Amino acid sequence: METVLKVDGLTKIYNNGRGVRNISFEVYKGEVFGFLGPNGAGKTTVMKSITGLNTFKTGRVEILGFDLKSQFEKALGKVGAIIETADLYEYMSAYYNLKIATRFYKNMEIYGIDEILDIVKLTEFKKEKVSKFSLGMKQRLALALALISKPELVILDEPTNGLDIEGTVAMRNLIIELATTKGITFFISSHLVHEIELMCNRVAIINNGLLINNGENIKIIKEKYASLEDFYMNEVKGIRGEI
Amino acid sequence: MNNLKANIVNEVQKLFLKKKVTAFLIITAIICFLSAFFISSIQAKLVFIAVDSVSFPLMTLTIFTNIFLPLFIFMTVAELFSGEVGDKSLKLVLIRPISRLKVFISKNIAIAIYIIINLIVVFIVSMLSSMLLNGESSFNIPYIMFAYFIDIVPAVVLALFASFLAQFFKSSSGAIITCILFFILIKILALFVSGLNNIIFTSYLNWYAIWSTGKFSFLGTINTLFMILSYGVIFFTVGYYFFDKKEV
Repeated sequence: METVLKVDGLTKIYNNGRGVRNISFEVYKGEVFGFLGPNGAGKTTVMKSITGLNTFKTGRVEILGFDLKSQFEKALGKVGAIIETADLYEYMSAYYNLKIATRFYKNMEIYGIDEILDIVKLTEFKKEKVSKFSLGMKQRLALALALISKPELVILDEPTNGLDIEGTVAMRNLIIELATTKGITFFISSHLVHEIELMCNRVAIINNGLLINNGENIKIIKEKYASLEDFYMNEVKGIRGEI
Repeated sequence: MNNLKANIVNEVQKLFLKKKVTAFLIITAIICFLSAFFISSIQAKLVFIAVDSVSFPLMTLTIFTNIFLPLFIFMTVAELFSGEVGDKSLKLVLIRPISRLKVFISKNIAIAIYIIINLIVVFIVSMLSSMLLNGESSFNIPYIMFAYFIDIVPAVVLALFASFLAQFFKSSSGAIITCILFFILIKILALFVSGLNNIIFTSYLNWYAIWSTGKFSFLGTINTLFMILSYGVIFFTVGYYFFDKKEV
């Protein structure tokens, strides 16, 4: 199996003493990898470190064989990401938000703006200002921004956060469709067990800044446990017992 | 290199898609025209104020580089740095395949382009206003253009100073206020501390005036140029250090 993302011994401690310690896992080509943990467990910290938004002194991150620190541009060349919230240039139209992103991939085969807007079903809002968009539309545009470069790895931090039921289902279906039809590798964080269960092939659990397991196959989990929720509770209890 | 170019285009486009940035340019043009109008109207009454075809565009340049341009620079820098941290849109470029050094350089180049555009607007409007209102048509254009051209250097250094200060703020308003206060403080200190005027970069915002008055000294000018550039290098380096360490 080809490794797309390799995190080895990542440690990031903030000034207040919180953070993540000794995080190691691997994400393989073509899978939808879930990163499950309660709010404040350190999911976003790990995702920010992987995308270079955070600096870390200990550990190593490798994306598609490139070291994040020494080969930053190459490492992020085939990566799309939404970290924390769907941040966009609110004063611009959907078109300009995408146009600005496309300039970074001059000599690469990427999606056309119309093509990607069609995929996320925002074609009719192409010229509308983002500030007038609903949260669901903003989330879909952020996904379009993450996908525009035809990435091999897409990192999504709580992609359905704040969405209503319809928006959540639409986003989830879109991720599953892209993973199965286009073969994109997804690394998705969530605090919702149900969501990870529906979308992902493998799952890693993080709690209190520590990785409890580094990637179990969900099918195998379901053979042993009644649900992913049972597995999660069992793993978290186990680590609490050890403490 | 491609990504640097791409982000310079992006940063310039981002600036001009913001209504207030375009509005600053229109305000600049209006201020220039109104100053010309004001001067031409009082000139008729107060004959001892002689504003000829050469001095009007240069006088406008002095007013603009000392008062309005610093203000517009602070606002633009605050928008591109602190403003983007505040609304979290800085993440959009930091997760792209471009190093932080290139992002920092491209933002500062975009600000330099904005400064040049501002000076071009002042140059054109002050020349046209002078022609229309004072009926002047004989300009020493190369001299005026040279004056505008050399004033780009200290303005860019001021922008680097502002972009260094902006690294400490998460809102554009905080960054603007601090830049203005520092600017005023430096100007006030220069009044009281003897010799400070000669060694502080803000004294050279209307650099052309120093060139054109008094005895021209080649060595002295080169010395000043290197001093201003040194300020630029220091502000750029320290500003980049903080930008590189920034966690968004």
